[in-house]
Amino acid sequence: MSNTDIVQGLRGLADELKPFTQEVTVGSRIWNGSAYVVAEPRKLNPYALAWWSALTSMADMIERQDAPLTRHQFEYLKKRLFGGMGSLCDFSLDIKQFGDAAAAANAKLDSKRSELYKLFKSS
Amino acid sequence: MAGKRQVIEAGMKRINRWHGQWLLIAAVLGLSVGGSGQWADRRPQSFPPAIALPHGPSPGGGVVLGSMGWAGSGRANRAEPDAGLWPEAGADGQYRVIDANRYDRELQRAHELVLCEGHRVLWRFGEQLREQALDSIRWSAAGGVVGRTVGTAVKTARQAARYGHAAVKSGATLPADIAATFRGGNYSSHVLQSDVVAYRFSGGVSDPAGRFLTTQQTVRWIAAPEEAIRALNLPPGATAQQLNAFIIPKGTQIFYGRVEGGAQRATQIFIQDRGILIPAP
Repeated sequence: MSNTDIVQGLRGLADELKPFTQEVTVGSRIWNGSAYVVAEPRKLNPYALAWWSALTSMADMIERQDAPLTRHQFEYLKKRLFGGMGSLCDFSLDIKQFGDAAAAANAKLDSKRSELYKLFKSS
Repeated sequence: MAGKRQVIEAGMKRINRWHGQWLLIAAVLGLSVGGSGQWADRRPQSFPPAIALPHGPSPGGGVVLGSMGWAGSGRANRAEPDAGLWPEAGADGQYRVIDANRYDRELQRAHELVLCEGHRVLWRFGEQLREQALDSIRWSAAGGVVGRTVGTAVKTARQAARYGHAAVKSGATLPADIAATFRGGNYSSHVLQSDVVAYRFSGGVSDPAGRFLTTQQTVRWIAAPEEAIRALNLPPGATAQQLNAFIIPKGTQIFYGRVEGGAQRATQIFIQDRGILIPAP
């Protein structure tokens, strides 16, 4: 397991959460990659924001580390991401609140998290 | 002279028999009141000082704790229904003193024998009672253990019956990352046949609603966030400052088992979609 693989996995998860980390109010425009466009109003999910922030920070820290992860770092990440209640495994978006976008995001989160778990399990 | 001697000897025999009877009665009475002191109450036993023997004064004259003593005037301190049993005093009034001393020694020996035998009987009786009491305690303890075991079995059976009514076993499986959160990767899967109340600890990065829950039985013995963190092996960033109750509606597929790295008796429940949770009032 290389640091790069872990960083990619963490950033992939963070990307799925990003749409739910910002609130869109009436008249707000959001960047679609090429321009600012009008978007549907939407509430943010504070827990998605917290996880996006945590995953991004983890990825940034590992990316800046030359040495492989220590055992303690490894255990910390594993517990935060793949523990039970309160871990990333526990998190999912509320489909009632965010609709189909949440359902699609949940499916992608599950898939990407499982891929990342394979990296941790192989170590 | 010879006639007088015969009268005296006859009187002596009567006294001897009379003393023997009274001694036996007094010994039994005294032991009954005082007990052997070997099995029951270890506090100092007090013998009623009124128990006295109707023969000559005891050598010490006083009543020692635990002994039968003399009380009063050299006679039983009550009416003398058997006063006629006493022989006439000798002309010089001496024989009674001499005989009393002699009988005291003999009677003391007899008395000691009776006491020893009485003590032995009472000691055996006490031991028997003690054994019975210990047996009773042992049986009570055994009964307690059996009772607890039976109670646990009944409770387990009751829970099994409740879950049996509430759920139908399913062979569904979980992805590896979720399965790993159960101890040893072991979990059971059921489809609920009736609503079930479940709980979540939240706070920090942990949402009040989520896919992992726990049971009422587990929550019952968790009294503080630190205990919840330990029992459910919550990760860093989950503070367990809040306890939330939800109803998992019937028809929901649940996965449940022990917590990997958590307390021995902590149970966790996993559901696929947190959206089905209904906040419990």
